Formats: sequence, C-alpha cells, structure tokens
Amino acid sequence: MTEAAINRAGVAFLVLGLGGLAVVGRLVQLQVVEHRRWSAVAQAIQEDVIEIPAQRGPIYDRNGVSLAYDVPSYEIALDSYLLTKPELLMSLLVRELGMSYTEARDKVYRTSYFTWLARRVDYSVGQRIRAQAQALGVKGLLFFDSWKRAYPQGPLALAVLGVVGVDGKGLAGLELQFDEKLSGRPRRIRLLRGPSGQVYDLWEEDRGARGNPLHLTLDARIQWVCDREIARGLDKYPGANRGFALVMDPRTGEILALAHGPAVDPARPDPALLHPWSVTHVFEPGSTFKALVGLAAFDQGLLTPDDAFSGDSPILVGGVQVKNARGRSYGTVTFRRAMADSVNTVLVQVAQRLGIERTHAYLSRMGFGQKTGIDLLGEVSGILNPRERWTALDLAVTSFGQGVAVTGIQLGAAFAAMANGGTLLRPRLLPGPAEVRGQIASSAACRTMREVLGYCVNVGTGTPAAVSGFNVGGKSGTAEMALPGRGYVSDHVTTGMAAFFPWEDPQYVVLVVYQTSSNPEFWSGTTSVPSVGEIVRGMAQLGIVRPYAPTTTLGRSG
Amino acid sequence: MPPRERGRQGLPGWGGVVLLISAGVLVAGLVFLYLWQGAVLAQLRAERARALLELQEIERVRLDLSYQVDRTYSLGEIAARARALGMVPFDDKRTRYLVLDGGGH
Repeated sequence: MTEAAINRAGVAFLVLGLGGLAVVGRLVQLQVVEHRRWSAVAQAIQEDVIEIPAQRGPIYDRNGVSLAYDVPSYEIALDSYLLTKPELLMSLLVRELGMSYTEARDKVYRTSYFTWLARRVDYSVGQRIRAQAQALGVKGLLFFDSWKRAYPQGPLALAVLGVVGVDGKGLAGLELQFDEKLSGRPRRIRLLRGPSGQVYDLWEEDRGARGNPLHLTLDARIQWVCDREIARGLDKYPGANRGFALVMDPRTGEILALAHGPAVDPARPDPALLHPWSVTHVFEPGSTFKALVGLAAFDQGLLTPDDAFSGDSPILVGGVQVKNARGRSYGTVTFRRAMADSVNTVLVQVAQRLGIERTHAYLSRMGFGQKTGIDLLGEVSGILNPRERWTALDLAVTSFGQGVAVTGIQLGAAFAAMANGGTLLRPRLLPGPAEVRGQIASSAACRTMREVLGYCVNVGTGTPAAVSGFNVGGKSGTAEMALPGRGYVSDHVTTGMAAFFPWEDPQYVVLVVYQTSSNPEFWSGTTSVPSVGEIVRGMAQLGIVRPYAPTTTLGRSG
Repeated sequence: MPPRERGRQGLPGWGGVVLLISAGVLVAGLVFLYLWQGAVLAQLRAERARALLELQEIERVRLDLSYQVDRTYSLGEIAARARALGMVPFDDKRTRYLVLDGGGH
C-alpha cells in the first residue's frame, strides 16, 4: 500500500469517526441530556389519561330496596373544528334529545371550538346518537362517560332524598346533607395509543372509589302507600294545595315513610317542591293538640275520661269569646265524648285546670318550640311563646291547637311518645339505636289517652280513619291559617289527623296533614282522616300489617 | 519459526469454529427470543387493554339494564300495569279480614 493510499484511508476513517462521534453525541443529547423533555413529548403523543367520574353511593331503604343510584350516562359535546354535516347533526339533536330546532341551531353554529350539546344523557340515547352520527358521517361529536342519578322507584320520597346537580353534587335533601359520604373518587386510567388511536396498553393510575351507600329507615312499600295517598288526596279533595304523610315506629323513633305532595318530577325537579315541608315549615295543629293537653292533665291526675264538663259555646276567656267549631253547644259531656266530638270549650276548661305553668312545661317537654334533630336540613323549631308572654287567652286557645306553631315531625314525635308509653325519641331517618329525649308523661296516662283516642276513631270525628281489625286511635284537627296582616283567613285551612294502631300497643304512628288556600269548607273529617284510613288499608294491602284480634269492647274489629 | 507454520498455528481448529458458530447461534436465538417475547407481550398487553375497556363498557350496559329492570318492577309501575289490566285498589266493601286470635305482626 502506498503512503498516499494510507493517508486517504486515514482521512476517510477520521471523517467517519467524526461523523460517528457526532451521531453518538446527538444520541447522548437526546437520550440522556434532554431525556425528560423528549420523553414528555412522546408521552403526550402516545398516552392519554381518561378520568372516569366517581360513581355516587346508592341510597337504600330499610329492606335494601334501592331508592337512588347512579346509572351510566353520556355528556355530549361538539368540537366545531372537526364538525361535518351540521344540518344532519341538528336534525339528530332535535330527534333524539328533544331539542327545539332553534336551540339545536344555536348550539351547532355557536362560534366556539367546544360546546356542550347535552349533559347526563341516558346511556341508550347516547348510544343511539353515536351510532346514527357514525352512520350519517357526522363528525365532531365528543362522548364522555358519565353518571346520572336515577330513581328506580320514581318520585318516591324525593322531597326527602333530594336531587343531584349536573356536576354530581347533592343539591337538596339527604343528597346534600350526606354529600361527602355519598361522593366517591374519580378513576384515572392512562392509555398508550398507536398512531391511529388503537390502544396498546392501559394502566390504572388511580382505581378511584365508589361513594359510600346510605341506608335509611324508610320502608319503600309504606312510603309508596303514603305517596300514593297524598297524590290521591291532592287530586280528590277540593282546594288541597299540599300535604304530607308521616309513618313512624313509636318504639324506636324510626321514620318509615315521609311523603310530601305535590310530588317532585325526578326528570325536572321543581326547587319549590324540593323541601320536606313537614320539617321546614310550621302550621297550627288545631284539635290534634287536644290529645296532648289532655295527656298532660291525665299525667297530673287532674282528669279522668269520664269527668263531666259543660260543652256550651261560647265561653268567655279574658273578655274574649271562645267558640266550638260551627258555634255548636253540646250541653254536659264527659271528657271522652268531648274528645270524640272535638269540643273546644271543654279543652279550655281542662287547660284551665292545668294552668299556664304546667301546660307550658308539658308542651316544652313534648318538644314543641325545639328542633327534633331529625337528619334533614332546614328543620325549624316551631313557635311556642315563652311562658312569661302567655295570657289566660293563650292558654285557652293553645288547648285546641291555636297560638302555637308546630312542624309535622314535632307533632309526629309527640304522638309517638304517647304511643310508646311516654318516652320522647329523636325521629330518625338513619338506622341506629333509639335516642331518648325525655319522658313526657307516665305510661298509665298515655294508655288512658290512647284509649280515649281509640274511642274518637270508633265513634267520633275520627271515624273515617277506622279500618276493621286494626284498632286505629287518633285525633283529627282543622285550623284556619293566620296570614300576616290579615289574621285568621277562613279559606286558608290546615287539616290534620295524628293516629296510631293498634291503640292498645301501637306499632305505627301515622300523621297526615293537608293545606288549602282556597276552600273554606276544608275539614279534617273529609280530608286527613280518611287519608289515614287509606294508608292503614294500603299497608294491609301490601301485607305489611295484619289485622289484630278484638281486645276491647271499643273495637269495631272483625 | 517459518512464516507458514506461524500462520497455521494462528488459525483456530475445527472445534473452535464450531464453538464460535454455536455461540453466535445461541446469541442470535436469545436475541430473537427476547424480541419475539417482547412482541408477544406487547400484543397481549394491547389485547388486555382492549378487553378491560370492553369490560368497562359491558359493566355500563349491565348497570343500565339493571336500572331498567328495577324501574319496571317498582311499585308504581306494577300498580300502573295492574290498573291497565282492570284491577282496582281494594276497599272495605270488597275486603273481609280473617281476624286471628292474638293477631299481630
């Protein structure tokens, strides 16, 4: 080999060596020095993170029946940059989502890259839209997996359960109160995609967590009976604006049903109806209160069911005439008969025997003027004026349930205490041990009053609540509403019936209340009282209760 | 030592050649196995990912169907279907209870 050839070979090796060195240097720069940067770029191109919203915890009744849970749904959006065939898309939106043509046009031609077309779309509807868009060649639609709150029992107890917003957060009722417990953690998945979008691998970055379930004391069957009855009552009783029905277990304070009407439509919930007004609003209880004043007098030993009173009307209290309903006089009547006929003037005399001090103390002990502590937001205390402000007239009108404002849940709890032998319990929607709030009267006094109230249903104003074989006892009441600046208005009326059965050893307390703002002839005897009977019948119809054997001469069972 | 002899002594023998070729084949085989297994693993991972996504979709279908079943068998829906068949809620006129001694729940 000549020296020139050796030199050329040397130059060639040098050039190749330098070239190789440059390549190695560049590789070191890309793979080592700038590794993180290029790795991130590659990851952004190849990997995709999907966040699947958390499934909210379900809500069950006491028997494990689902009242609310999350079902799959879609959130559908439009990427205007990719959109093709907008006219076809508009007709698809009109057809499948029920949009108006104008609304569909506004969404499709909106001057924005990203537009929400519809959120919380039913799974099957979303699938149909996706399939049709594909078949029609409409591009630009984006489908996001999501959840939608569903109510398999329809509007059952919706005023108590509340609703969930489009962001999956509770907006009212138990959904709002227990939002933290019910909410879960979203699931995060990382996907490795190929150039045409095919999935090569998948890692679960965060398994996420489903929300915790919420078990209630409600019984879906009893709730359904109550919901049905309130809906029927609002439809049937002329002028009825709203109503509620409460069923409690007096031995534990558990609420088995709490139905409100008008019913809430789960598809389009009306915010005005989304509050359990049995807890958030007050009303004057009317003659249902007589049972509680009488109970106090029994407990003090000041009264027996056979004590005789003058049932004449009117009587003067503090210079003011106090009358019976429709101004009727009853002559001399026993307390039992006065309760059956709901004679106001007799109860005034009973309250006068008790006196202001004791009557006020008993009503306080029964929980009036205080929150019950039920597991619902927005509970109000009701109005029981301070003892110092009570006059002889206050005492008189309170004896038949005027001048005092109560919530439905307070009234139900007080009757539950009478039903269980005098123990006032905290009404509960969540299972757990009974929480005692106090003793309102002796067991003997409670039994005496229950027997009197059994008589009221068998022969008195409560007769429409009687159901053969169930020994219902209870007291009805009708009260005009006092409006600001107008005083008591004759066509604004609250009617109620607080009952229990069987009266000898009550297993259930039932309270039904209706209100009207347009009917001066709205009476409990034709509204709340028959509704109590219908609820008891409904519970029997579903096999929840069986008839009881006749154990008293008062019973009309069999 | 003469140059020819030096050259003969520097060449490997047949045994060495076989050893060299065997080592080459072994290395090539291992490299092939490594690459082949990698490809199979990648394919399996892709299949697993697709199956998991499909499973997720099937679970959504199951939940949707389960809701439709619950809705169909809710008390309100059953009552509506019963009414459509001509049934009516019972009342005291049409009902007689069999009252048993010591009745209760």
